[in-house]
Amino acid sequence: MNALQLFTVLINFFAFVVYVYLIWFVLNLNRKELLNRLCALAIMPFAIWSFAFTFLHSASTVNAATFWMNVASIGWCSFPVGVLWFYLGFSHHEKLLKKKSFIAVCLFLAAFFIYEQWNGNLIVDLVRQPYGWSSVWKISPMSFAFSMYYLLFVVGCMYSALDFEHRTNSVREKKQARIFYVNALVSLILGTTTDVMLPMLGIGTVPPLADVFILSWAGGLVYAVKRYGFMALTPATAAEDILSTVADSLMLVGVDGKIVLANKRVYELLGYTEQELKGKDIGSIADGIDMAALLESGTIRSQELTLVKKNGEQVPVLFSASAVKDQEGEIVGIVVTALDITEYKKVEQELRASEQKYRTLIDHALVGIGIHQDNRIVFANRRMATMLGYSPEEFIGLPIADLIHPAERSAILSRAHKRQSGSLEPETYEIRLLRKDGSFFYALISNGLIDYNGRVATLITISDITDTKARRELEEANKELEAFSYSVSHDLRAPLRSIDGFSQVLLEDYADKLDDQGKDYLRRIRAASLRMSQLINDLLTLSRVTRAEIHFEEVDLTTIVENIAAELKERQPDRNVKFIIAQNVKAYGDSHLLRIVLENLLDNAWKFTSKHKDAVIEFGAKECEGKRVYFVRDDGAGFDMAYVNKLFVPFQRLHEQDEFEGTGIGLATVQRIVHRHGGKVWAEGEVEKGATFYFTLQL
Amino acid sequence: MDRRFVLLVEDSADDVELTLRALSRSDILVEVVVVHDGVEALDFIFGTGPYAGRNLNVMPTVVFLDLKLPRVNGFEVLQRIRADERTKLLPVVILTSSNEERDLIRSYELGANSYVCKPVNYIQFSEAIRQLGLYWLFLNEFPMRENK
Repeated sequence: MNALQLFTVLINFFAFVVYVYLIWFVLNLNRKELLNRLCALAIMPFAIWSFAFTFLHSASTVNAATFWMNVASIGWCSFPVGVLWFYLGFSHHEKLLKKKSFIAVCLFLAAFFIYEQWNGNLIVDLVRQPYGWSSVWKISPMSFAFSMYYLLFVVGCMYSALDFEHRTNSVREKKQARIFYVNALVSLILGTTTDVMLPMLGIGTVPPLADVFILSWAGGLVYAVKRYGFMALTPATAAEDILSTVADSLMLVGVDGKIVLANKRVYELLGYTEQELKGKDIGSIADGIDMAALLESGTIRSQELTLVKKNGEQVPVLFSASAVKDQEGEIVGIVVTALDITEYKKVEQELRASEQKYRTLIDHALVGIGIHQDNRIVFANRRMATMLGYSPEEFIGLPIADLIHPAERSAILSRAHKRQSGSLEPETYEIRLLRKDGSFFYALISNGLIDYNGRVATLITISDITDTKARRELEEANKELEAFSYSVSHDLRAPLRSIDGFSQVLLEDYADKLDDQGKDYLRRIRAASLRMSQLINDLLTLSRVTRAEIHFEEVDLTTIVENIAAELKERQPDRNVKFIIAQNVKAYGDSHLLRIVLENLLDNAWKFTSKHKDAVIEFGAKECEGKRVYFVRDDGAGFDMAYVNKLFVPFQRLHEQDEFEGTGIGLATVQRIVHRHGGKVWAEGEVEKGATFYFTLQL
Repeated sequence: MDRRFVLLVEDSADDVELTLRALSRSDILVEVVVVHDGVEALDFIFGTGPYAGRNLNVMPTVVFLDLKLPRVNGFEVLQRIRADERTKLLPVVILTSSNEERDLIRSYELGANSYVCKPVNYIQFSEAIRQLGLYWLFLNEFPMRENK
C-alpha cells in the first residue's frame, strides 16, 4: 500500500467517522423533530459510502473491490433521496413528504439503481490506480438514466432551497437556505465531477472523492446549526424571528438619531430598502419627533405622529420609543415602534361622520328624544328641552318626576322602574307632561330600554299631541256631546218632575175623587217617569265615562270591592250573600272609572242573585296568556250564552223589567270604561247557574 | 220688624207650583216672592225696572235660584248679587235640575251658599224643599243688617 493509497483510505475513513458523529450530533440536538431525523437519514448514505470506500481503496483484488463498490452503491444510489427529503423538510414541504406515492417513487428509484449496479449495469469495471481503484462506467442508457436521476434530485434540492429563501420572512431561515444551496452546489458539483463525470470520460487518474467532498455540505450544516441555531432554537434567534414577524414596525435608532436596524415591516411600510434606510436620520422620516426631548426623558408613549414614506406619502402611526441603556446607565440607542393606524384613522373618521349625521338627525327631529337613567335625564335633543320649556343645558340632569303631571307622577315612575327591572310594561301611551312654567300638555311617549354607559337606561321619544288632528276632532266631538248632555241634564228632567210631581199631587189631594184603578194608573205614571229619570242618569254616566279624562294611577281594587260589598249589604241587610274577595288585587288605571266598573258588575251580581236564598259573589284576578284578567262571579240567575253578544249593547236587556229592574246601560258603561283603558270585557254564564264577567286593562 | 221671605227665581210654572205646594205642605209659613227670569230677579233685588222704588232695606232671607233661566241665567244673577256691596252676603241656594260637575264648581266659585239638585221623584223633592226652608229660614243664623 503506497502513501497515496493510504491517504485515500484514511480520508474516506475520516469522512465515515465525521458522518457518524454528525448523525449522533443532529439527533442529539432534537431527536423528536422531523427535520433532525431527516437530516440523520440524509447523512446515513454518505456514511455507508465512505465506509465502503475505505475498504474499496484498500482492496487488493478486483473482486474485493467490486464487492465494496456494490456496498458503496447502497450509499451513492440512495443519498439523492435522503438529501431531497431533508431539503423538502427544511423548506416546509411536509405535505409532499407525507404522500405515500412520493415516498414509494423515491425508494423505488434508489433500490432500482442499487439493483442495476449489482447486476453490473452501471460501473462495469474497476481499474487499479496509484490511489486505489477507479470506476469504469458502462456507456449505456442506464448510466444516462442514473445521471438524470442525480441531476433531477439535485435540481429539486436547489430549487426548494432557493424557493424557500425567497418565501420565508425570517432572516435567519434565509441565511440558512443560502448556506444550504451554496454548500450543496459546491459539494455536489465536485463530487459528481470526480466520481461520475471524469470516470465516464475515461479519466481514472483523479481519485473519486465525492463522499469526502460532501463533507463540505455537512460542514455547512454544522455552521448553520452553530451560527443560526438551525434545528435548535436559541433566545437570540427567537428574538430575530419575533422581530421579523411582529406587525409593528420596529427600529433601533442610535443616539445620533440615525437608524441602525429596522425590521421587515418598516421596509414594507415605508418603501425603503434596507440599504436606503440604514443610516438615515429618524427625524427625516418621522415628522415632529423631538430627539433631544426623547434622549432627555428616555420614552415616548403612544404618541400619534406621521411617518413619511419614500414616495412622499404620509402614514399616521402610533409612535412609541424607549431608550436602551448600557450597564453604566448611558443611553446607547433607542428602540422605536410605530403602529400603522391608517385603517383605525379611517374608521375613526367614518365614525365621526356617522356620529355627526345622527346627531344632526336627532337635533332636528320633530319629536323629543332623550334618555333617562336613575330617574334623571342624561341625554336629550334640543326639541325635547324646548318642548318642556328648558334650555338644553339646564335640561340635562333634571329628575324626570319634575316633568310629569302630578296626577300621573307616581304611577309613571313606578312603571319606569318596573320596566328597567325587566318587567313587560306598555311601551307607548299618552302622558301629561309638565313644562318648566308649570303648564302641562298631552304627549305621546314611547319607551325603549337601551344600554347607556354600561348600564340600563330608558330611551324616550315624545311628541306633543295637543294639536294633532285626531285630538282636535275628538275634542270637537266631545264638546258637542258635552253640550248635548248638559242640556239633557237640565231640560229632560224638568218635565219628568212635573209628571211625577202632579201625579203625586193628584194622589194626595184628589184621592177621594179617584177609584183604585185611577190611583193605580197614576202610580204607573209615576213609576214610568222615575224609570225614565233613571235612564237619563245612566245615559249621562255613560256619556261622562266616554268623555272623562283618564288619570292613570295604581288602584287597589280589593279595597274598592270591599267598600261596594259593604254598601250592598247595608242596603239589604236581610239578604244572605257571601262575598269572596281576593286580597291585594291592584290595577293600573283611573280609580274613579274603575270604581264605576266594579259598582256595575257587583250591582248586577247582587241583583241577579236576589231570587236565590243564599248566594256567593266572588271577585279575583288571574293570569291568562300573560295578561292579568279580573273577574266578578256570581251564582245567580245567569244568562243564556246564546245572547252573550247582546249583553254589552246599551238598552239591551236579557231579563224582563218586572223580574230584575235595570236600564240596560250598566254593562255598556263597563265596556266603555274597559275599552278606554285599552282592555277587553267578556262574560260567561248559564241560566240559573250564575254568570262571570271578566275584564282586562291595558295591553 | 224683621220680614222673612224667600225669593224664588224659577221660569217653570210647574216647578213654581210644586215648590210652593211643598213649602205649604211642610207647615212652613213663609212669604214667597216668585220671579220668572234673571232680569226680573235682578230688578227685584236692586229695585230697578218694575220694582223701582222698592225698599231696598228689605231683602229676602234666602234666594232659591235656578240656573237655566231666560234672558239672564242663574250664574250671571249670582255674579251680580256677589258683586254688589249691598247683597254680597245674601244667602243664595242654587236649586236646579242639573247635577253636572261643572255647574256645581262654577256655582260655588261664584259664591253660592248651597247647591241642591231637584229630584225627579216628587216625594224626595218635597222633602228637599222642606229641609231647605227649615234650614235657611229658621236654623241658619245671619249677621244683622245695618239699619239705615
